[in-house]
Amino acid sequence: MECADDLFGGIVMCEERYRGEGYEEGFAEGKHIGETEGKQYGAMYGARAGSELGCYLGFASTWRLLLLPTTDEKQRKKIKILDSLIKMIQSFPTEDPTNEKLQDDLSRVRGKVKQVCSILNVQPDFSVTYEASGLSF
Amino acid sequence: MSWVRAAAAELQPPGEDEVFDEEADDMKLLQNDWKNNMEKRLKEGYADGVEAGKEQALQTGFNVGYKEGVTLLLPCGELRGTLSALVTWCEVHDADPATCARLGELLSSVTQCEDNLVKSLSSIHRITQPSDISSALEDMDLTSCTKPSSEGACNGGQDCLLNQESHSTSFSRCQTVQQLSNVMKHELDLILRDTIALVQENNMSADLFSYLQMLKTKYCFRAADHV
Amino acid sequence: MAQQCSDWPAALPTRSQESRGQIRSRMKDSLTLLHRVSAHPDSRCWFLAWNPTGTLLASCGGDKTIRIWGKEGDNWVCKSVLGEGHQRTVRKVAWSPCGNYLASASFDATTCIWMKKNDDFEMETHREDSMDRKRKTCLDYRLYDSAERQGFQKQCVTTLEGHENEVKSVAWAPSGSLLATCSRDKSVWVWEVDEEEEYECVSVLNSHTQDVKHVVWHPNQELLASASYDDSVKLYHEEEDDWVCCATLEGHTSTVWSLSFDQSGEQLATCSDDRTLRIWRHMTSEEEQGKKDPIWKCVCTLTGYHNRTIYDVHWSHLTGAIATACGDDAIRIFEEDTGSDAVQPTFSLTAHMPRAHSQDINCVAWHPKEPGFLASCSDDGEMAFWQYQRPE
Repeated sequence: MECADDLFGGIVMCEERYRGEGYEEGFAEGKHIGETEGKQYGAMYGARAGSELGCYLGFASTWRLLLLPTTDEKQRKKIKILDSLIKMIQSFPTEDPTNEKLQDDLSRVRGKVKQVCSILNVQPDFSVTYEASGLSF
Repeated sequence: MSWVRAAAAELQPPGEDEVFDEEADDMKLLQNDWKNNMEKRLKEGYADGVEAGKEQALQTGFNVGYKEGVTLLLPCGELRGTLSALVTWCEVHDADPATCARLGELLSSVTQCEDNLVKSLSSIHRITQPSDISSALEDMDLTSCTKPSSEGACNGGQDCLLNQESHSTSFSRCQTVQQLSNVMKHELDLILRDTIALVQENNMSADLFSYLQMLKTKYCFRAADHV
Repeated sequence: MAQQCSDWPAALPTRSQESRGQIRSRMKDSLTLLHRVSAHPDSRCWFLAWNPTGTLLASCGGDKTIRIWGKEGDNWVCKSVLGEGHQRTVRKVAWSPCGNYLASASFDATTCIWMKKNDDFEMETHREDSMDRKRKTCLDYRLYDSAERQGFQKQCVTTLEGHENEVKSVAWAPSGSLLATCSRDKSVWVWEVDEEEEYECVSVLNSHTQDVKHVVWHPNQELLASASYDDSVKLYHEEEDDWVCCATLEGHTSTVWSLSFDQSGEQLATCSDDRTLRIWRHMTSEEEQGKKDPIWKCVCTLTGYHNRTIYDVHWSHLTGAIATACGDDAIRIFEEDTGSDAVQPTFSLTAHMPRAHSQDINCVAWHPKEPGFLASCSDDGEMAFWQYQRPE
């Protein structure tokens, strides 16, 4: 029946309209929630990265300055390794968490730090526990 | 939803008005059904919309927060690393125990500062205030610990809460990341000054002295007290 | 008394798609027990290593000691006990290519380097004179240690530290100037030793995502291989002054416990908790000549032979036979079928000794000079010596 079809079509159109209105309202709200949530997680991850990398940078830079320039081959080796660690950290993509190589680069930096500590014969404790957030690095 | 009824009425073939009049109760039921149905669609749409909006904004929000976190903690981390290096250097070279102890204390201070910083950063983001309210708060400058101005420093003196209250309190009073940053810079500056003094006292490398001064500038720590 | 090898199992093992081996109908007497020794009583015997000339066998165990064994007549005699080096289980030992040094990896997170002071046991008489003198002068009789007598320094020469927890393996590169260690901390460390016997960490590699169980060096290149709880095998080489992971071999579906190169270094056998033994081959082609990273492919998977985790595999460089140590207490030997395609080789089970030990077998080690001579050790603290003969 023609009138029934039209009526049905009208209902469907109606449903779509309501769904659409709801969607738009929800989308705006969701965006706000997502941004806030995302920012919260991002801030924690960023804090960890900044803290860790900053620490390695400070450590390496300071030791680099404490090792006086010398002709001693062993000392020169140490300086060379420190320089390569500093360079590695300075070229780390700190601004971009979506960088695919992030995890690999971080592993390489951590490995280099361990090597540096080994050749300097020191065992610093770089771990930090943040009670509030329950994060420990 | 009168337009629905109007639309329905329009589509009614002529001469069936009696049907509506006679079945007035049924009409009410139909109307309720209709209302419920549309409300359901509204809710479904809303739920779908929230999911979609969240998904879209999560990554962008994350990226913004990430940069914020990195920028905030980098200076703290670097100072912590510097002090770790000095502590280990002293251990290796069997330096004066008093110096070692003092360096150890400074290292603890910076670690504590970091802990407070992260705690506060975490709670700032947990407060889900609509953005307009928080910016209004900022304008009103309700927290007297620091002015959120470009100067980035308070004027010191007895009125300053920073001098009176404990560090963790001054951190926890911060409502925005900018305020956090200011408090942090003040704290780190104090630690850095003590470190520089110690380095000078012990006649450590001149290059190291310059490096520490450079850190001050790099992270825009407060240059000097205004007396 | 010689043990007989079992009859062919009633059910035929399944074959993987990659391998179609021939069925050997006669395996009797291919593996014969020669000796059984209680190496680390009341403890586990974790690993065995022959010195390069095959005159000495080092064992290590859960009792925190390393023992050096030598043959005297028909008997295996403990010539030295190195008990002062580690605070916890010693998991692996490895001889340097020159035979003068022994490295030991321990759960106490350290690696010890021991030095052999004299390499001539026939000089014992001379030694005893000096020992007598020592005995007279030393106050505490316990200081007189059999280690001194047999030429090992009582204290280890160097202790390598750095790993965060249990060191699982140690291996010496064929050049003798590099050493590799791996640990539960997921890292692989490469160390360099100079003429002054000083060890320096050259690289810390964090490529694995889990506990690293074993490391081995290529027989004639500076290529390192590691096996891990993350189910993969990784290869490393030096690139521009730094060590990098140049290949990842994936295929096993559970922890890879051990690995062993063949004599040429072109093939690698790996064994796993997934109860399979896999053979990998280094692929070389013209296109790959220019590329830096090697390509390795799995060319054979031996499934259905082992009933439990395979803890160790060793490829004999003398005969090409592959021995496996299994959690079902059995030793198995495999050989490549004659005439099998190099790129798609087939292997057959040529010996199977069930109940070779009364508990899990942790290690199998072919003698470097005597073909077919095999040592094994187990959680039961014992080590056993076998003679293998390839069946007709």
